[in-house]
Amino acid sequence: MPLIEEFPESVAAALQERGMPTDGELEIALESDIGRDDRFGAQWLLATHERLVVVASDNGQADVVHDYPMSDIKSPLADGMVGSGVFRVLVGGKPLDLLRYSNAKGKSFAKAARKIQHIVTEGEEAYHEEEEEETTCPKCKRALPPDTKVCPQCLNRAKTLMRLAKYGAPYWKMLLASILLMLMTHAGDIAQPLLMRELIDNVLKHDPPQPERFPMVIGLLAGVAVLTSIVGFIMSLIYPRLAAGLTRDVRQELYQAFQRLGISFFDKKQVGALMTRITQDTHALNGLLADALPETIWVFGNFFFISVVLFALDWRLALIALVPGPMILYTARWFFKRLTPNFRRMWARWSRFGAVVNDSLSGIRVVKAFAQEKREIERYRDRNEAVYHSNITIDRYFMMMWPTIGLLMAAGTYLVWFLGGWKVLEGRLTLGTLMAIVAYLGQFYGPFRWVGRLCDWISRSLTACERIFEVLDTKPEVYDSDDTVNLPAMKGEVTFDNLTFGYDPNKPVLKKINLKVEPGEMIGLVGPSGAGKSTTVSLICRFYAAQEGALLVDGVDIRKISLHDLRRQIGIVLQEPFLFSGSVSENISYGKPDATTEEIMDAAKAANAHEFIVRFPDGYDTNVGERGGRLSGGERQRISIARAILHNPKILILDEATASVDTETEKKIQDALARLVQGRTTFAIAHRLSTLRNANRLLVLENGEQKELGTHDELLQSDGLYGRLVKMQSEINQIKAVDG
Amino acid sequence: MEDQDPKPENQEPKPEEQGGPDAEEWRVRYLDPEQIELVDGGGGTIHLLEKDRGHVAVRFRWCFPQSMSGRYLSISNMKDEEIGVVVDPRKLSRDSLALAERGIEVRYFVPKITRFKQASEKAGLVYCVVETDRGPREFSVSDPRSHVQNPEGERYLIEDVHGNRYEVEDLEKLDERSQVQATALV
Repeated sequence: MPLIEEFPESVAAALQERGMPTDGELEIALESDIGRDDRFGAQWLLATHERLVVVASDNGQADVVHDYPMSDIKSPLADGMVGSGVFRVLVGGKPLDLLRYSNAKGKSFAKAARKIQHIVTEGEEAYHEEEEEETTCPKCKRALPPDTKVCPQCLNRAKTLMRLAKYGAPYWKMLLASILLMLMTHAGDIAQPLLMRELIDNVLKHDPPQPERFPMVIGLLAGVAVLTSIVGFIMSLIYPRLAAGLTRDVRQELYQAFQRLGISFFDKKQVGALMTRITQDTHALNGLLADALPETIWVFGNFFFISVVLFALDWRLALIALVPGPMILYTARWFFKRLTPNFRRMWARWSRFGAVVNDSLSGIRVVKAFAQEKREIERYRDRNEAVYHSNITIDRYFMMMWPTIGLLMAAGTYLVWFLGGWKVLEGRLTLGTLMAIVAYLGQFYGPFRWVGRLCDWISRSLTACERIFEVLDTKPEVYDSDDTVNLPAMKGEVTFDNLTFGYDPNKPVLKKINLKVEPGEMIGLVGPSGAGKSTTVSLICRFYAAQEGALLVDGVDIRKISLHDLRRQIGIVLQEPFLFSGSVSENISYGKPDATTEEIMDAAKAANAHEFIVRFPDGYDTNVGERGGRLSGGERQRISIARAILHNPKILILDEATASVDTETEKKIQDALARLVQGRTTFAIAHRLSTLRNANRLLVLENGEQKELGTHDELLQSDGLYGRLVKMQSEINQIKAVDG
Repeated sequence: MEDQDPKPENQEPKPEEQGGPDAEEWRVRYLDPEQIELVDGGGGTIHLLEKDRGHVAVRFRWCFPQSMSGRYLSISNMKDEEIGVVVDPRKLSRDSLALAERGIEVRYFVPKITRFKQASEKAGLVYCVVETDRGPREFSVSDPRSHVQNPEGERYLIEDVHGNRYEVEDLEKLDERSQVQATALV
């Protein structure tokens, strides 16, 4: 997203009149899309290091609306509203709205605000040029669908097909066999009417009769039918394996690509959208390969061969047969064009219907507590009606479409009967030829019927393919480089050296953090929500890299340490423990798959989990369900702690769970955690006073800044931010105690 | 705990050299089968005798009933606190082993299906009529995907709507009709 956009001559002239440069010295030249009169129009924000100017541009005329020296400007802000934003600055201490812009321009003006702040603070506030996510297609300028850069309008179908074809290389033999078999099936389909013609003209109607040829021709007809069936059967053995095998290969490569991508990729996408790529997009790919493509090739192959035969039999009748073709094509496309948005509407309505049902049944206690059953019934009725109407609309279109197309096909057929029949009566055409032509007509009209649907189907499937390729083409996380340092036996010393980091480099969430942590020390991270605690631990895990300063482990820059060594020696206990679908023992040994049974049980014992695990009917073989859904919160926590204990990390990240459990379970979890942190360098995002008291030191963060550092007692005595937080927490606990 | 000697690069650290829980109370207690004895306490109870103490009315549980059946037997006292784990119960004395097996049978009642006479699905429920090693039985299974486990090979564990369990030791060893019927479940 560049800050310099091409501006019209009128704006350039206005700048030159004011003695402002219009070339390399310009730092910002951005067009907004809301005019002075708050209607869609154009205003320009232009800035150099010395001046800030706003120019309104209307119909080739440009007026300078604001012109200030940069030295007078303070606190530039791109203030987001609803559907628009305002670019605001302080001039001489007074706020001034310079211009408005729609949300489409929001990101550009936010970037401009940071740039101006960088200029007015003379570089004290950092500004980073960074590639931002494209939200519009660079080619057609239309908005891209969410979570992807694949523009469905500009999709190069041929290129996608060619790339897909490369995956077919290992299956070339099956592909060749499929093509040959398909050609044989075509030959069989074409041969049968010709044999029928032979039967009628040269056997049944022959004068004198030739009964001796009768069994032979019938035999040939039957033989061709049987052969065609056998070929079709063999194809059904080969082709599905080809399509399924190819899809399997792409699916495998896609999942592998996901596993190699860095955390920042997953931050920018929703999990649901990513799962869609693995499930629905690969399913669409399979549909393309198994159904759409072969059907298309079949349909058009049939059309071509049959056209050739028809014209060879009687070119005049073949031309007559063609007459309804365009009408059938037009009719099919007309209906499918209306059906497609109705299908989408139907899916949307069905989805909303499902949401109502899901909501009200999941929250049935709330519904009943507030006596809103009638209201829920009405809501359900509305959605149900909407689905009903969509169903009717779609069915109506289908009911109209097929008879209409059928009528057009019948019209073509009867036209051929009529004109062909005359020719037979006049002796200019044999009956057998006419019968053969009529027999071909059904296959001949077929492609016209399906073209509309096939084109749309293939288009959507190829778009799905491109979304898959988009992931395959994304750069994977770099595990090691040439100057990687191996650190297989960390001591666990961690140093933050003037570290600054932001997910958006121009919006730091951690600023100039300085901290040295000795091996085995426990640091509590404290601060209000959004202070930067989770970000700190993400940096230690090297999910992200700092923009300024450094993070060192045992004196080595974390970016240089072998990622394998680093992650092998860091353990995490998350706030919401995540368990994989599988047995308890599989989950505990996740970080150490070669752990012995005794090691697994000892880790569970240390985590106060062994007792309840053994009580399960299936003990350690108990399946925890998706995301550990079959276990309680406390049980999941302790299994997660057991997993960390078994992993035996040198550096431990502990994101303390806030979910309340009963007192006894709480004690067990606290005991388990106490055992876990012993001897490990620990960073604990702590919520409980007990954890904070046990920490060797506490790092207090606020708005990404390091506010306080010290022990619990030291910080309480200094009565700063930490003291206030503790006091608040104590007051809340007292209220809870009073309320019982 | 800190490393005392500098290690050459690429040497994996030993677990005991790193920090971590290593006190005895944090570890599972393993009972030596040759040093303990199980005795019949009468009234269906079984007592455990160690060298220096005894436990009344103990209970038995497999730690890994599916993946390592026959190993890792957890024994708990009357308060349901674990006394210890016997890794290989076959090393118990003959009498003790017999009592342990009796105790295990009380805990795990899992009839083995020897024949499927019927298994038909309707409205999400699979109704089964079977012969088991404990006699004939009829039961219903809801959502087979969640209530039929396949721990290994052709072995299946089925849980009915009441939580009762049934085992198919080896589906391929059942008669053909049973195998066909069982497809409604597995």
